[in-house]
Amino acid sequence: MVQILGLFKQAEVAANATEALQQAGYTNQQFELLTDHPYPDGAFGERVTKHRLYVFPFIGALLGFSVALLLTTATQAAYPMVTGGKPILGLPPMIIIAYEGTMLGAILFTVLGIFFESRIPNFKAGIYDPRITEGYIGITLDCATERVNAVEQVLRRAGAEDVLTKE
Amino acid sequence: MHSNGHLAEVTEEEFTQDVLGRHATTGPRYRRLMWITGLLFVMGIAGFVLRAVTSGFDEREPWGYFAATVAFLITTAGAAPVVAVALRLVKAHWRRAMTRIAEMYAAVGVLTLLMFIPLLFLVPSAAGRRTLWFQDTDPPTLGLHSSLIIPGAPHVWVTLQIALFVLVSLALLRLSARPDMAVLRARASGRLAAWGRRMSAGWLGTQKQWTVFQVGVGALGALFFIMLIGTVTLYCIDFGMTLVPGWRDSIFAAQQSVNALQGGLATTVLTLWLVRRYGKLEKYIHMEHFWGASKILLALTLLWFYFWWSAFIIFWYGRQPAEQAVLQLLMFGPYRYVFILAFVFCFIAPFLTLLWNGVRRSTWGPPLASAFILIGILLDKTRLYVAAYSVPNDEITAHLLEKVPPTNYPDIIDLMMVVGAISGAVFVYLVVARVIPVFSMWEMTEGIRLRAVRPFLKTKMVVLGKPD
Repeated sequence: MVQILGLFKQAEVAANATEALQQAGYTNQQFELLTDHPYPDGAFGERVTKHRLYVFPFIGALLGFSVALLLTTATQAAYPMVTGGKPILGLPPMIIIAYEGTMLGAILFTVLGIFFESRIPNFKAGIYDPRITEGYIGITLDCATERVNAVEQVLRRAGAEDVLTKE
Repeated sequence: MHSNGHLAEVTEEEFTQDVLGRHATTGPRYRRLMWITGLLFVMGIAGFVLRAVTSGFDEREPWGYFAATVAFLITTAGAAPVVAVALRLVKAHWRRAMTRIAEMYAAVGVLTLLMFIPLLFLVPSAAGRRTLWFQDTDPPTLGLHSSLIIPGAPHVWVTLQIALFVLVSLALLRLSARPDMAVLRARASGRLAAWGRRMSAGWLGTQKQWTVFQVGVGALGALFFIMLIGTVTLYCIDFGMTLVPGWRDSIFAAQQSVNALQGGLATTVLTLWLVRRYGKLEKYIHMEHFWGASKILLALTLLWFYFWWSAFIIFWYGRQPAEQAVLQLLMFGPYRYVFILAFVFCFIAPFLTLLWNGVRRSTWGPPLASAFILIGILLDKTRLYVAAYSVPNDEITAHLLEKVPPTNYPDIIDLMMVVGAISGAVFVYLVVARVIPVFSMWEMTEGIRLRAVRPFLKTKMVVLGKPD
């Protein structure tokens, strides 16, 4: 497979190029847009990206809360020392530790989630061109070696200023 | 011309070129400021060592100004990233020029965390004291409602809280700067490009990356906000209020939290003005940024008074002996002049400044009010923490303060530590501003693309695209 990157100076032209690719038989699941800043979802007719990042903080918070509750409850239950006839467990300090445990879990899992969903570290770097940081829009897709010329023609006809390939 | 065909103040490419050009070089004035703040920071470290050697960690009184400075740094530099977080959450478009300026203060958190460590040796265990931890001794002396023993309270838990707060601030800065690091990777040269290569961590700018990035920035921002309130709350209670017998104020933590929001915004606005003035960045930082911030600053200044008044009135009308002693210690006794000045600078001066529409709608009014607020916060923390740390060790378990300690005036070592710590914070910020662009370039270029100036009848007006 060969990676192809078409570079477009105008965002409007890049949006039209995705249509040209779809007319040439490529679905929006097969190409990817590269931009220097976020564009609104669907601005280029690209696929809706899915992620599960929102799940990570909740799982982390739940785990952290459970561990904190276990720590404060189980340690007291294991060595119960009744002083002055008062109950073993006191809610106010347990709430503080539960809060800290919850936040510890939520923060660590959010950071892990960002790493996981962003696929960091990414040892197989995709095709890229510094002009994207100048405001160019990149359209990248993988295709079989025998189709490289055809895809390049589609991209150039659609207005690509340059087309790069990478084995 | 804007790429959309409309007139624009500056194009994306002009902006990126300009920022990269400025970022690549360090001017002589900037270098001089780094030297001055660096040397003052070293002087502060010397002051700390002198204090540790001459006074040790047995008595709290010599460390009052140090504790006040830690509180000042948490309330100002520590809270500054909240400006970026809050304005991103409400999708305020005028935020773009100030978000990075605010979130770069996250790096100062490392200094604050290091400065917090010595304070752990000064505050006794929560057992047998009236604290947030409701922890009694064995046998019980306080008659608390449970016999729960929390190991390490409050030290371990406040340290964990502040460490997590610093971690989430740094993670926010690190994540938010990632797309800009890709710009450095592609367009800078030498060490800056190598730094950008390492820090961009394979950033390409795919739609998936942008989506995860924006959700991640939002999630970390929300967690940062929760951690900020938690940090301010635990620090001011465990390392301030509970050291004074009879000082039981349920509003204090909320008032300190509002003070942190006020301090964070004031720090950002003042830095924005300094960056605009001395970085010659009038092209990107306009009156609208100060105007937008000034309205929130005015609201927070009024809130500061509301919370202070709510707490004060309870003590004032309560008039119990313990409450009278606390009022004497913190407001009308040995620190009355500091209290009056703090009140003037935290509330009266910024309120009277920001009251006027013409002043709010200027580039100098909001920074002036911010400077007042920062002076006020330093004075306020001084009267709170220096007073609290002047209570002797053997009195902090009492029911009330029998004898109000006299004024603890700063000596040369205190001044060295206070000036050194604040200079250290500025020094850290200056260093970080050399490796991370002072503007959030991805947000600025997005803003340029979404903004156009179009003719309207006989004038021109800004048309803003709002994607969501």
